Amino acid sequence: MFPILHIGPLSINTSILILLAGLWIALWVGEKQYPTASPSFSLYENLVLTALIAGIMGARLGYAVQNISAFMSDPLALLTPSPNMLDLPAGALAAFLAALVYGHRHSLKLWKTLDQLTPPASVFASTVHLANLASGDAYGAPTQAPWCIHLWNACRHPTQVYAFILALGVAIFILRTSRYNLPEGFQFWAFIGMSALVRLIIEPFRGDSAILLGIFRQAQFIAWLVLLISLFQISKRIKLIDRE
Amino acid sequence: MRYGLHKFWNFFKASLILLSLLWVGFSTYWFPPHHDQRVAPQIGFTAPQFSLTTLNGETLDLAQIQAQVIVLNFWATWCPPCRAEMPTFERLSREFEPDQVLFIAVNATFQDNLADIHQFVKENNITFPIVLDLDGKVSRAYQIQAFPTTFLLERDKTIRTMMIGGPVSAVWLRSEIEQILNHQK
Repeated sequence: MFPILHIGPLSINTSILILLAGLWIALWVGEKQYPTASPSFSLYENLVLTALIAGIMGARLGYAVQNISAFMSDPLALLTPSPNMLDLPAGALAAFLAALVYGHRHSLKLWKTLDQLTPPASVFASTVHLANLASGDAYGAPTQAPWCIHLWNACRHPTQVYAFILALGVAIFILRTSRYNLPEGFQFWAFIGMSALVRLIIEPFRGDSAILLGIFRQAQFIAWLVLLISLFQISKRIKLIDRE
Repeated sequence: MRYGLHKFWNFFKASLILLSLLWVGFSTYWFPPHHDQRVAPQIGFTAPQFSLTTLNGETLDLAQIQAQVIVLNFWATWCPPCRAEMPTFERLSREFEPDQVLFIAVNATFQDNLADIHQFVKENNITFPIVLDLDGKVSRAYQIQAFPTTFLLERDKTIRTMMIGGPVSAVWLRSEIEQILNHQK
């Protein structure tokens, strides 16, 4: 665990730094992968940045709405640069809506856009696990395995490392298959399905699982449903290959 | 050739669905999920216990505190953001009753100076308890990596949220306190 990076008098949050570096690398990879004959990749970069900014604003507004009495006493706190005052579901919704509006305005095709953003997203997804390793989040369950890491007063499964290795495998698969001419939406659903499978495999080794009905791990249940949807979406696209 | 691809995919899909279901069942049986109630300085865990001397010479034992919310702040006088956020803690500590919300400032005395602490407390009219971590044991137990670090604990000493760095926003602190109070109603 390495949550804070000390540079002189500055204390920098390592996980935020890793996520920013991940975003930069992801966009760089996206640009490298992008076919030069198509319209500029900056259109997609702007889409990501628009969604990101809208997401942050939406997350802050969502947090403010949930804590309206505290914000009424100091409305300027809406502008405080603090990562703690964010509501993730509200942020995700705002980012999705902003991306939808941006895409509509620039006449971007949904599946083509998602396919184009899948390789950078797969690279970014793997850096999320490194950020978790730095902050000590998404920690593993206690174990006596010889490769356990000492974290939160126990020797635990290095679930962040397991997840990173598998996510890296997914990213390599996505980057390699992006060269082929696949049906629209194929890459996107392949990425979603494989990411769900990674979560499904890793979840039992995690020590912070939310529990459903007293027995099941909530994340495993959701991941299985997502995997199911992805497999059926991929099936639809394989039928398209058959027709062609 | 195409028929072969289709056949292979259908076999692969069915196998994956079946194997993933088996894995869910197997993992639920062999690695049953359970709530980790260990002591650790992380959200969701029980906060490490301590018993320290206050600036007034009294002993403060975390286990004995029955406040609904405990705001635990690790600080030092030489740390500018720590100094900047103290008036916020003081203001909020006056807004809430101590049995409702108790503010405790753990001073890293092993890296600080007693005279400076007394002077700072006097200048800023700090009325909530300041405890002295003379040998750094408590700071190590909480794995403090940067000052200030603030933990918000529930009555049962579970860590509800935390913030590394500062100064904390009064709005964030009030929001989190109110959320914990509402959660415990």
